[in-house]
Amino acid sequence: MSWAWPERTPVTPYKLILRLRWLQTLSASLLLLVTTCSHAAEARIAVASNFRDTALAIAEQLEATSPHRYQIIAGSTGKLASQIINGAPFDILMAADQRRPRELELRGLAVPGSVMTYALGEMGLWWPEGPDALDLEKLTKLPAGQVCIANPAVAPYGDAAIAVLSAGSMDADWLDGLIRVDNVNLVTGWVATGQARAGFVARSAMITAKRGGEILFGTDDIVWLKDHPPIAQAMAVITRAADNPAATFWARQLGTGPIQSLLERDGYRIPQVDQ
Amino acid sequence: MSGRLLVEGKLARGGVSIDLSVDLDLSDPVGIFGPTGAGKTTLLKTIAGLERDFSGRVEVTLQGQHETWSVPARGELVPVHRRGVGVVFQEGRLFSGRTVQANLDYAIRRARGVGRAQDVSNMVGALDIASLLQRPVESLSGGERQRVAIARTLLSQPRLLLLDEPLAANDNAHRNGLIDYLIEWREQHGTPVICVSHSGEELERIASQCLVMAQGQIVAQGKTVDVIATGGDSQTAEAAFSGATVLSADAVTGVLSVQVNPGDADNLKQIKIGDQLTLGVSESASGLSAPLQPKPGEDERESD
Amino acid sequence: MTAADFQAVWLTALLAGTTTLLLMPLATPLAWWLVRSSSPARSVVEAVVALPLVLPPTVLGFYLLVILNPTAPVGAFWVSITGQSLTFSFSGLVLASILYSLPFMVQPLATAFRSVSQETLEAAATLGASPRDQLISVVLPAAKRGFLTGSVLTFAHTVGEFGVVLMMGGNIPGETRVLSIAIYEHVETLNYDAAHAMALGLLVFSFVSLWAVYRVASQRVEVIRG
Repeated sequence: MSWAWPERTPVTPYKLILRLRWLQTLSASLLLLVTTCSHAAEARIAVASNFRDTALAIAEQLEATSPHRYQIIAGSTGKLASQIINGAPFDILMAADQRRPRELELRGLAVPGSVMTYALGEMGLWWPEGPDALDLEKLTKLPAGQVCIANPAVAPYGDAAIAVLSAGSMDADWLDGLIRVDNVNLVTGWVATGQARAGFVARSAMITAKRGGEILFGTDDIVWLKDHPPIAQAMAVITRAADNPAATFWARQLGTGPIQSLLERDGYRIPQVDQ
Repeated sequence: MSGRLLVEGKLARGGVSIDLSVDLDLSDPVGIFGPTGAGKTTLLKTIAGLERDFSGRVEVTLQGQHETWSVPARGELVPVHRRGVGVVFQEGRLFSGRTVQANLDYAIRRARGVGRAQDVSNMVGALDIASLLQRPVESLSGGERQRVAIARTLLSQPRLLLLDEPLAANDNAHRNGLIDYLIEWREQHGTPVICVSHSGEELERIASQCLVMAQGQIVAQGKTVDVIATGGDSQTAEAAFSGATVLSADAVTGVLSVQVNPGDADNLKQIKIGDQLTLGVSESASGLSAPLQPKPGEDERESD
Repeated sequence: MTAADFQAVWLTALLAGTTTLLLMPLATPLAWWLVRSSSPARSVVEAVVALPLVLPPTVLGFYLLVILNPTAPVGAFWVSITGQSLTFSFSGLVLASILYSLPFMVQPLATAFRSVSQETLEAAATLGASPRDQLISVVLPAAKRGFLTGSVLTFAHTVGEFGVVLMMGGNIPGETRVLSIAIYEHVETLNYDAAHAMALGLLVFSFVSLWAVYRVASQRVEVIRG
């Protein structure tokens, strides 16, 4: 695995915003004349790190079909939620768990009734040079310091990894010795660069990294933990965005076909029942 | 050219209390004479308002105008920059990082005599600093620095001029020219002058009246010729004392305090400050008591 | 590097420039007071000014977050007069940077001011210069290098700020997404090429700034004419 990864240019909405800022007002007023449903608005979408690339793709799609503009801010779910509590100007939180959006709703920081699960994430154990027929029990052969998880304090995928491991026969000392990184994307990076021998990764992060040409992995090297409950990723519309048409549009569009196929492409499953 | 200065109060300095009480007639230049550590510079700084610890009284009458600069308890009433007191400091205190010209310009821009034209080139010539104008002050010799400092202070057109050993770092050739120029400048501007020096000869030329300070006290005040022996025309006299007691002898400052028997007081009248004395101690002397034989004219112990 | 990255570079320069320009007039009287004052409060103020040198930026960032968030009295007051939050905003970052970089401006200025002796100021006073005039005509010219050093250090230090921004600024494009945060985000999202480009740029910039400071410091004072 080489250190320098191939160039990739993520498609960002910022480019458009920068270049066309003066045009924006003009086009907004023009659109107001032709469209009756809504007028152009901007929304800041705070997304869990593992959802960043998917969110960028969604933003691109929505910007193509509406006058709205979106900014994607990525970070760990816990950090983003704490920032919202301290006044960060986000319009929507796309968390990697259900707990934080609900907590925001309880605190009165999210629009009541806006919390919904938008995707089910899948977690897997990636062990590039692991034994054949990977399973969790074999992981104890590795020293804990060579196994990487997302930090359970701020990253739901880390929480889930600990839950999976605790259910097995791993002892507490071994669990305490695991490498903890800030978010689940970094687990992919840590294992890819050999800084950890194995790690609990998000399927979405593996797919986007593979698509970007950043990593290679064989299907034998990963065991997807299908027996364990999927990680329910929920979102919330933040109170300040209650009347923001761009935010409302984003939330509404998540359930539509084109967006759902984007989610599936990136390794998420679609929740059957809206909450 | 009339004026009056009144200072009243004491100042503690390194455990020594300095009594600064003086009442000076400023119509004629005043000299201040005394050994190192006598408090001369402290007196000048008090007049200028630079002694922060001084909390006594300073009053002046300059150009017929009476002003109170400082009063006991309430401290400084008039800050340094509003007193109009020009001070030539012993060490010059030029602005470093600048040329001589820039130092002079600093004073010219802040000159007090509004609208009064100054003959700068004449002054620069008389003080022999014309060739130095473009030099940075760091490159000047001690004497040059002092002459620039004098020029700078004069160009600020002070209402009262204080000079602290203004000629000390200059050679004899410059010294005479400087004294002449200072006298001429004073005549022209009518500015009262107070000059500190340890040279009686110098003071006799500059100041007709004189204060003598020693160990923080003003020990004499009067016409310069009366209170200071100027060396050139010193008299020769002999006096025998029946007995005397050495009160203190300081090898560092060179100050010797002697108390003579009351019966010998008349002998003291012929001794002037600045006289050079020869002390002879007779065989009967022992312990702290010693009879004295003053013999003016012979070099034994200078008063400075 | 993407347009968003250039935006981060521009925002960083804007933040550092604003901080330096605002800090200079604030730090000048403060440094002057620290040098001249004999008040017992001086050592206390000196210690407070130097705090950012030893405190982890996260501590400063945390307290600013606590004090300035819109539900706290100070934060709420700011929101009531400007309609904007001080946390997660550019204005908040400017405020934080001013506090965070305070010693980097105050200390070079204080050193420069200290080089002007009491005797020199007394001489200026006897020439008729008021305390204000002394400051402008004697102290400030002598402190030119102090201003230059302080400005370069403040600018560079603000450019290199991370912990404080992370705590109270977050990662909002065009508002608080400064260089260091952009680099962090690139690393977090495995975008190592962009991280390399920006990190190397920052490294070169920091080196050049410090080199400039040491170069200025080693030069002789130029002679002021007129």
